[in-house]
Amino acid sequence: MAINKTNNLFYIVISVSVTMLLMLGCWWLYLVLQLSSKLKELNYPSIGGNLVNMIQWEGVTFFIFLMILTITLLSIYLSDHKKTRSLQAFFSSITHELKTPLASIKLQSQVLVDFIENSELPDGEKEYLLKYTSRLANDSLRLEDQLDKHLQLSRIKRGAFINLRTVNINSFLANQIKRYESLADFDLISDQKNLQIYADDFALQTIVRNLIENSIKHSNSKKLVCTFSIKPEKDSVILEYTDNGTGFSGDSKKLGKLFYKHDSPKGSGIGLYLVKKLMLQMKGNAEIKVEDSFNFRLHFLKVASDD
Amino acid sequence: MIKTEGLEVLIVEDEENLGITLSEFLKTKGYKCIHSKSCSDARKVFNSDFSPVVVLMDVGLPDGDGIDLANELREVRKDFVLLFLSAQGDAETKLRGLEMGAEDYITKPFDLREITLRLKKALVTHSLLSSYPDEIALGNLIIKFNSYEVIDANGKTLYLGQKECAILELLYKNKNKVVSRDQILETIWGEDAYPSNRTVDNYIVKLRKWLDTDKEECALIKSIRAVGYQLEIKG
Repeated sequence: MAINKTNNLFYIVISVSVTMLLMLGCWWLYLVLQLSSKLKELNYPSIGGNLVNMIQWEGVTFFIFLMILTITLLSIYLSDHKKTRSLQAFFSSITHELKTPLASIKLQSQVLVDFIENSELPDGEKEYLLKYTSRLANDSLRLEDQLDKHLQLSRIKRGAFINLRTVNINSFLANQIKRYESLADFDLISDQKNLQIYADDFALQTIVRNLIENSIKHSNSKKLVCTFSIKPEKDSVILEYTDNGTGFSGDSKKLGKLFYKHDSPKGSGIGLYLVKKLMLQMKGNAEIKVEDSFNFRLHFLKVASDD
Repeated sequence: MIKTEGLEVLIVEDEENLGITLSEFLKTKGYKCIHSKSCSDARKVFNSDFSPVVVLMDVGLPDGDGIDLANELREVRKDFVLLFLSAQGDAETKLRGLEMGAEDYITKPFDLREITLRLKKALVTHSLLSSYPDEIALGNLIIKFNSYEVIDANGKTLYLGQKECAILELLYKNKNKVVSRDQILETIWGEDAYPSNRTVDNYIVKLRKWLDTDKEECALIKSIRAVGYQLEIKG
């Protein structure tokens, strides 16, 4: 929604600028045509009729340049707009097209893991094969996360709407955590069992996966521990997330800006941007604090309990 | 424990490697699978002697839309478990798939564990529903769990989605007793899905509409504040 507002504002500014330039040009043309007879009546013997001709020619030339400028500005804007749309559509479709072959790779790696685990191979061989197939399975998970991020980014840039529905945050998180159990330890703290929030499934999934992926990628901790803590408030549910990593040495105020990575060679710089944007789209917000480690505080709209 | 040995599964998936791998994996688990790569192929298989208990359906197929095809297959037979497997994860397509009565809509790339768990869950529900008599009368209303249908007091047949049917079965099995929302969520969806209480409420709305056609109110679903629901059957 915020992106739509920005686009609309930009469109308004361009439209106003073009209209102003056109009006200015028309005004000058009017002045040249209407006042030329009056200018001729002025008697300047030293310059005489040359002044009138000069004003007329300069006025017309100015008007023509103004028109060329306006048309160029408009066409550049429109072609740029079209190009951006096409690029966004391309990224969206290519990401979407990649999902099916990725599903195939992921499925085949998981079938292999399942086959090896249940085979009667000697332990040494089993372990050896499992090491490689598990890596393959983990890499396909990483690729899936990257694709999802790009799909979400192109959705946001296209101004696509999200679908808010009630989600049980406790079971949602428990489900997402299972995916990363081999890569980190997780604590899920909640006093209430079934807290309901308004969220879009895919957006929430992207947020949670980005937070975990961020910890996995940037934490230097030997044994990564990620903690999710869910706290209900009057009208909202607060999800706090932290890890036992080493924090961040860059400018924490810039975290969440598109493509901001500080000096990290890892990552694409869109993960935290997506977290912030998607939270806003879900009518909540995200606060990022950096102390000894990253601390995220996500505010979700709470579903009013009517029973 | 559900017996999967010999259970017939139709996989409609145009991506060859994905379809074959899924088919071969399910065969190792005892299922009898056929893989179709297009709508026309799936139609042929469905109308042959092969009678699938489960249909795993892709949405974007080369010669048509998987949801339309599923609707078409439902016209022929209603007693099969339908699961959509699709790369199209937008809310609108998901809703279309679930509204036509699919048991689940799984987005690609899916986990093998996820698909086997959901498949087992769907089969447990299916086998439970199949164990009931063909028709159960509740006053002027009739339940046909076997074919996922109910008949209202005006004699009109209504098709129930697999989830609605499973909720009705759970309430019917516990008739005149309170069934908590958590119990419904755990029994029908299991631990791997994350629906909310509101999801259950939405399914109850459709069941209530059917019950409301009976003016004698032989059966009604009561909301029990802060707990859940109760199917009250008179007489």
